[in-house]
Amino acid sequence: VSLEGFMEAFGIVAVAYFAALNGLYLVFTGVAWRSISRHLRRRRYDGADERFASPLTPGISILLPGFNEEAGIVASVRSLLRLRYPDFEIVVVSDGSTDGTLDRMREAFDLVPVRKVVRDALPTAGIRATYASRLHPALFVIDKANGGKADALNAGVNAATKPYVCAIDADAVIEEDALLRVAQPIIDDPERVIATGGIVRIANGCRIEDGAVAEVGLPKSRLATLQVVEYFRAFLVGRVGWSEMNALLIISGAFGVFQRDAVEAVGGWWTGTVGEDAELVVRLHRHMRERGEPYRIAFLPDPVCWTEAPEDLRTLSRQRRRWQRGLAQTLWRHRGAFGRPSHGAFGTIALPYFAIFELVGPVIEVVSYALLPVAVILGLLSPVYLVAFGVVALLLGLLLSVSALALEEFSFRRHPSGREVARMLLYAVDRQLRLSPAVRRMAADRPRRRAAPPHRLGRADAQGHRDAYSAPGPAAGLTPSGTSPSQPTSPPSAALLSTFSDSRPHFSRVALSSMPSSSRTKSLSRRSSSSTFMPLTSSEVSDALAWLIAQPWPENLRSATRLSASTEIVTFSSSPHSGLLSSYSRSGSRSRGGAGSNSWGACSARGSARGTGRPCVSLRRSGGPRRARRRAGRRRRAWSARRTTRGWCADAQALHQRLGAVVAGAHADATAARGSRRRRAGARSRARTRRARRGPRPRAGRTRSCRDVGEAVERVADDVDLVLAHGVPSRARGGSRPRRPGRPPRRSATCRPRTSRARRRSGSRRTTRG
Amino acid sequence: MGSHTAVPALLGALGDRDGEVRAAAATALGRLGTAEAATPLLVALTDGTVPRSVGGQALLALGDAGLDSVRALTGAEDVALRATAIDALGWIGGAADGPRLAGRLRDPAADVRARACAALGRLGAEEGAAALRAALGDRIPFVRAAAATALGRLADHDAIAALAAQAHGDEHAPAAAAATALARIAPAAVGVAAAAPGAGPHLREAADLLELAA
Repeated sequence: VSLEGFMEAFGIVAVAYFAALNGLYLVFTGVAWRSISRHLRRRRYDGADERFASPLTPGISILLPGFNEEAGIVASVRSLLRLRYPDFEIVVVSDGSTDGTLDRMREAFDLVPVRKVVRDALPTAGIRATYASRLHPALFVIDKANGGKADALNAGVNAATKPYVCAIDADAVIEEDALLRVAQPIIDDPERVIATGGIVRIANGCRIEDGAVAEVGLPKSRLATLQVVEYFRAFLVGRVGWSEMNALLIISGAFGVFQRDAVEAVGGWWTGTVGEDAELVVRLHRHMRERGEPYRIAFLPDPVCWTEAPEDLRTLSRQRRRWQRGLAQTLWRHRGAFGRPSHGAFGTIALPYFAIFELVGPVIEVVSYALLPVAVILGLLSPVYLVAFGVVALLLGLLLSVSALALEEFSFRRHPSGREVARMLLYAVDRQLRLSPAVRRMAADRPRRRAAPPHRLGRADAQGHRDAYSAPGPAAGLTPSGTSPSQPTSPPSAALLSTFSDSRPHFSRVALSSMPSSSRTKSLSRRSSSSTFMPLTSSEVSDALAWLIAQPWPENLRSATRLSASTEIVTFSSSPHSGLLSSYSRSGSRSRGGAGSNSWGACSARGSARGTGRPCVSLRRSGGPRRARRRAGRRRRAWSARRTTRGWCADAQALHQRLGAVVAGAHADATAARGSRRRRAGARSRARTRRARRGPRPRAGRTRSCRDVGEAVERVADDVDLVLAHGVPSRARGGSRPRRPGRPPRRSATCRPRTSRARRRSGSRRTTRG
Repeated sequence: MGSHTAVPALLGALGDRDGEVRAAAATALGRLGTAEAATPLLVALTDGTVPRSVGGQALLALGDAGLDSVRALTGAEDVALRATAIDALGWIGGAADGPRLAGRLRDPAADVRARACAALGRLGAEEGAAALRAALGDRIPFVRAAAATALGRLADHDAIAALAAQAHGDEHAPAAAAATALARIAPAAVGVAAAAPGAGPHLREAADLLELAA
C-alpha cells in the first residue's frame, strides 16, 4: 500500500468519523432540548412535593462507602440525614478504615454495636462489625475488611433492606431534594426502571455550607471552568440523548439509584475494574436484554449532585486516562454484546459509539492531527480545504458547546450571574480551541506503566469525579514477599489527619493518606482541590516527617533511581500556591498516583514487584516552570527537586535549597548514570562483573546515601517545626523570619549588600572603620 | 374551575398520545372528584400511560367518590388491573373492606396476594388477621413477607408464635419482616426469643434494635 493510498483511506475514515460524531451530537442536542423542555413542563404538575406525599414512593437504602474518611464522613452523613425523602436508610460502609472514621461516627451519632443481618447475596470481604445509631434509627454503619469501593458497595447492598439502593460518593454534595428527583422515573414506572442517575455538576467555585451548596459560582481555575462547560455538554446533551434511546451506559458513581434485586441478579459491582459504575450499567443492560425483559435505565437532567473537578492538568490527565482504562475494560468484558440487534440501541449504537468515538477516537484524532501537515506537504490535501475544514469543525464544536450552555441557561439556570454566563461562553470557545484536543491527547497517551491492581485503583468516576476514594484495597496482586520486612508495621498516626489552620496560609493543603501496612504504602500528598483532603497541623507534619525519616531508605540514591518506577515521592517547594511541603510519599506510583492523589491507583508496590524487596525513595518535580515540567516528562526516571524558589517565604526557600543540594547531586548522578542505552547496559554489565569479582563496595563520590536524604529531611523537619512555631516570615507580609535557636540573626534585606561590588564596598568600609 | 362539564373531554384526554396531556388530564380528573374517572384512572395506572405518582395522587384525590369502582375492579380478570385496584383500595378504602381483601389472599396471582396483604395492613382490618396468619404459610416468600408486615401493623397477638417461627427459620425477606413485626407486637417476646440458643440472626437483630430504641 502506497503512502498516498494510506493517506487517502485514512482521510476518508477521519472525515467519516468527524461527520458521524458531530451528526450524532447534533441529533442529541435536538433530543436534549425536547426532552428537557418536557421535563421542565412536567415539573409544574409533578414536583418533588407530590412524590414526597405519594404512597407509591419506594424506600431507598443510601450506600456510603468510604475508606479513611475521618475528616469528612460526619459532615457527609449529616447532609444525607437532611435529605428530603419519605422512606430511606443510610448504610455507611467503612472499607477497612485505619484512621478514626469509626470513632468520629461513634462520637457524632452515638453508634452502638448491633447484630445486623448482612446477607451473603453478593460476595464481599469479611464484615467485622455492624453498628446502629441511637440518635438516628435509620443510620447503620458496617465495618468491613478492606476490599475496594466496589466491594464496599456490594457489602452495602447485602446490608440494605429497602428495594432500591443509592450509591453515593463520600465527598459528593447531594442536594436536599436529590433523592426525590432522581427517584421520579422509578416512582413512575417501577416495573421497568431498574436504575436512574442524575446530573453531576462541578462544585469548584461554589460556596458549600453544612454539606450543601449555598451559592453557585464558577471556579477560578481556567481548567475547572472549561470542565464546567464540558460537563454541560456531556450531561445535558450526551446523557439525555442516550437516556432517550434507553442506551445510557454510564450512571454516575457519585450518585445513582439502582433496583436492589437487579443489582443482586447481575452480581453487584465488579471489583475488577476501575470503572465499576459504568460496568454495572452495561451489565444491567445485557442482563435485561438477554432475558428479553422490558426495562429502562433513565437519566434525570435535574441538578442533583455536586463534585469537585481537577484543577491542574496533571490530575485531569490522570483522571481521563483512568476513564479510558475503565471504558476499555468494560467494553472488552462486554464485547459479546457489540452489534447484536437483539440488544437494541444499547448493542448496535451505544457500545459501538463508545468503542469508536470514546475509546479509539482519541487515537484517530491524534493521528489525524499528525497526518494533516504531511498530507499538505505531499500535496494530497489542499490548504484551502484544510482551513475550511478546520473552520467548520471549530464552528460545529462551538455550536454544540454553546447549545449545551444555552440549554442550561434556559432550563435550570444555576448560574444566574450574567458575568458568569459570559465567562462560560468565552470558555466554551476556549474549550473548543484547547481542551478537547488536549484532553483527547491525554486520553490517547498510553499509560506508561501497567495498571495497578484493580482493587487499588481510584474511584471509578466516569463522570468527572476526582479519584478521592482513598482506600488502597487489599494487597491482592502484591505478593506477601513483595512487602519489605523493613516496612513499618503500623500505619501512621491517625492524628496526622487533621486541619491546617488558616493562620498558616503559606502551606497548601497537605494530606497524609494512611494506608494499611499490608499495602506497604504511605503517602503524604497534596490535593488542593480535594474536599477529602486532609490538611496537617504543625505537630502532625513533624510526626509525618519523623515517621518518614525513621524509615529504612535504600542504601543509595543511585539504586533507587534505577527503581524509580516504584517512585517514592518527596517534593518540597516554596511556592505559596503549591505549599512548602507539597508531597511526601513512600512506595507510591508516580504518574498515576503518588503526589497529588490518595486514590487507590496512587500506590503500587512496583519496587517489590521488581523483586527489590526493599523500600526506595525518590524525589520528583511536582510542578514548576513549564519547561522544567517538560523535561521532567521526558526524564520520567530522573530525580529532581522543585526549582521554584521565588522566595515567597524565605524559610521555605532555605528548606528547598537544603534538600535541593542533596537532590541536585542525586540528579546529576542519575543523569550521568543514564547516558545512552548502550552505555548503561555496558555500565551495568561492568558493574555486575565488578561486583561479582570484588563483592559489594562502599559508595562514594557524588552518590548520596540514604543517610544524606534522611538528614536532609530531618533538617527540613526541624525547619518546618521552626516555621510553624514562629509563624510565617513572609516577605509579602513583612514579618520577621524565625530563627533557629543559637543561630545569629540574618541581615535584613535592606541592609544586605546586593552586588559583589557592594559587598566589597561594604566589607572595605567595615574594614576601614574597624 | 371545578366544572364537571369537562369530565368527558378529560376522560378522552386520558387516551391522548402525548404523555403530558394524559398526566394533566389525570390530575384534573382527580381534582374534580368524579366517580366515573376511577376506572379509567386505574386502567391508565395499570397500563403506565400516566405516571404512577400522578395517577396515584389523582386516585387519592378522588377518595370515596371512586371507591365503588375500585372495589369492583378488585375482582377484574386482568391480574395487573386487579393488583392495582387492590393497592388503591388499600389507600382509599376502609376497615370494612377487610373481608373483600382477605378473599383476595387466595388469589392465584402472587402479586395480588402480596398487595392484598399490604392493603389489609394499611387499612388495619382485623377481619383479615386470620387470613393473614394463613398467608404466613404461602409458598411465595414475598407474600409471606407482606403477610408478616401486615400482621405487625395489625398488632395481631395471635400471630406471635407463627411470626417467631418464621423469624427463626424462613428465608431472609420473610424472616426479617417477621422479626420486625414481632418487635412491634411483642418486644418482650423478641428479647426472650433472641436470648434463646439457636435464635436466628433476624431475632437477634430485632432485639438489638429494640434495645437501642429503648
